Amino acid sequence: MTIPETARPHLSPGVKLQFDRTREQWILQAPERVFVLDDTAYEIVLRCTGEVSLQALVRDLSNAFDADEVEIAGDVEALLESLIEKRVVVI
Amino acid sequence: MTHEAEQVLDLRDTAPAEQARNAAVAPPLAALLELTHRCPLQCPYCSNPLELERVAAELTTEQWLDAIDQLSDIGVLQVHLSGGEPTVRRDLAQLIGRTTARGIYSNLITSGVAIDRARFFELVDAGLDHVQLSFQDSEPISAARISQVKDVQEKKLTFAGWVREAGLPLTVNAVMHRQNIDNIDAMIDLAIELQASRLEVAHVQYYGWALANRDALMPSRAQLEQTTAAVSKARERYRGRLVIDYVVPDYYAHQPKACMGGWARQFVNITPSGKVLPCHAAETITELHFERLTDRSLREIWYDSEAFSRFRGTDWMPEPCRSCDQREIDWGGCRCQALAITGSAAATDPACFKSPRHLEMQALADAAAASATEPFRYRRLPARERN
Repeated sequence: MTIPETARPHLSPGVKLQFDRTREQWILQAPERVFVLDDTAYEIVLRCTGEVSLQALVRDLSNAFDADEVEIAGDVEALLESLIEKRVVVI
Repeated sequence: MTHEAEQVLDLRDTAPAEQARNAAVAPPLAALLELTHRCPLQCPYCSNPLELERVAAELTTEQWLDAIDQLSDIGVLQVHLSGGEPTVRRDLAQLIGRTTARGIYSNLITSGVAIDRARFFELVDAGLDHVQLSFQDSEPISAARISQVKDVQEKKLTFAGWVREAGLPLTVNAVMHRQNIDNIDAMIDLAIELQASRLEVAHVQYYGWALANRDALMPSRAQLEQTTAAVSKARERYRGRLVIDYVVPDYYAHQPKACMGGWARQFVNITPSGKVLPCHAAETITELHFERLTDRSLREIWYDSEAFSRFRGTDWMPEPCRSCDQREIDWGGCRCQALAITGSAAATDPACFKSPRHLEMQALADAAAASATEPFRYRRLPARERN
C-alpha cells in the first residue's frame, strides 16, 4: 500500500489521543485496544488532524526536528500504514 | 468481550517480557463491569457464572460511581460496561458520564434488545465511546432459538442503525459454535452490511454455562478449519475496512493463550454485587476467596489480596511451565480451564501440547463434537428474579 501525498490522515471515529497520567505516556485509545506511542509516533499522530496532507505533515516534521525529509517520509508512511490497517487512522 | 483481555499493541521496541521483569506489579489497564446479571436473553454459552447474582445484591448507583473513581485512580484506561444486559440498569447514562469525566474509554457490551432510541442517545450524550453488539446467528430463526427472544434479530438490526446514526464505532461480536458455525460467511457479510469497524469471531470457551452445554456446542475440527479459512479470506478482502479478531477454541489449540493477558496483570472484573475478580470465570476456583469493594478498596484488592497474587507472574508455575521459554508470553494460559479439565487450578493448562493432559482434552473435544446434539440448558435466573 502506498499512501498518496495529498491524503489527509485523521483518527478514526472513536479513537482518541490521550496522555496516560499513571504510566506517564501518550496513548491512543481505540475500541478494545490501547496503543502506546513512542515520541516519534506521538509527533506523527498529533499531526493526523484531517486538515494536513501527508506531504505537508512530513515537511512540518522535517522542519520541527531538523531532519532529512526522505527519512522522515519513510518513518511516517510505515507508521501510518500500520495504523490504517488497524483502522486507527483513516485517509 | 472474549476471555482474552485487552490487546495492547506497544509500538515501542521494548520487549514485553523485559518490561514485566523491570516493573513490580503493574496497575490494571482495563475493567469489565458486570453491572447486573439480569438479561432478557438466555444464551446457553453465557460467560456469567451458573450462580447468577440477584437484583437485590447489585451495587447501588453511588457504589458504582465510587468504583469508577477507584478504577480511574488506580490507572484503568478502558471500562467495558457489561452484564447480564447492562442497559437494564436505569443509571447507565450516569455511570457513563462518570467514565467520561474521568477520561476512561467506555465500551458498551450489549445485546441491543433492552433499550429504546431515546435512552440509547442519552448514553451517547453522556460520552459513550464504542459499542460492541452481540449476534447469536446471521439467521433470525436460529438467533431466536439460541437467545430465546422472539424478533431478536430485528431488534439488533434496529439498534445497530442507532449506533451508526450516532457515529459511534461498532464491533460485531459473533459467538461461534457447532449450531451456527456453518453461517460464518453470512456473519462476516452481516458485519460489513452494518458498517462495523471490527468483528470479533469468538468461538465459545467452555466455562460455566458453556461447559454445561459443551456437547451441544463443540464444533468439529473440520468446522473449525473452515472458520479459520473464512476469517483469513475476509481479513484479506476487507483490509483497512474491517478488523477481525479471531479467538480459537482452546480445546483445539496447540498452545495456550495468555488468558486475560495473564492473571491479575492487566485486567479486573467487578461482579454486580461488587466482587472483584481477575477474570469473569475466576469464581469457579472455589479454593480462592474473592473480596468485595464493600469490604476493601480496589487498590488493596489488586495489589495485596491473596487471590490476585496467587497466579500472578511466574512464581506459582509448575514444570514444564516454569522453565518454558513461553512463560512470559502465555503466562501459563487459563487457570479456570486447568481446573475444569484436570481438577487443579495450578496445573499446566491442558491447551498446551506440553501438558500431560493435552491429549485427553483433545479427546474430550472430539467426543463432544461427535455427540448427538442435546437440547440446550438455557441460562436462566429463578422465575421470580427475571426482568
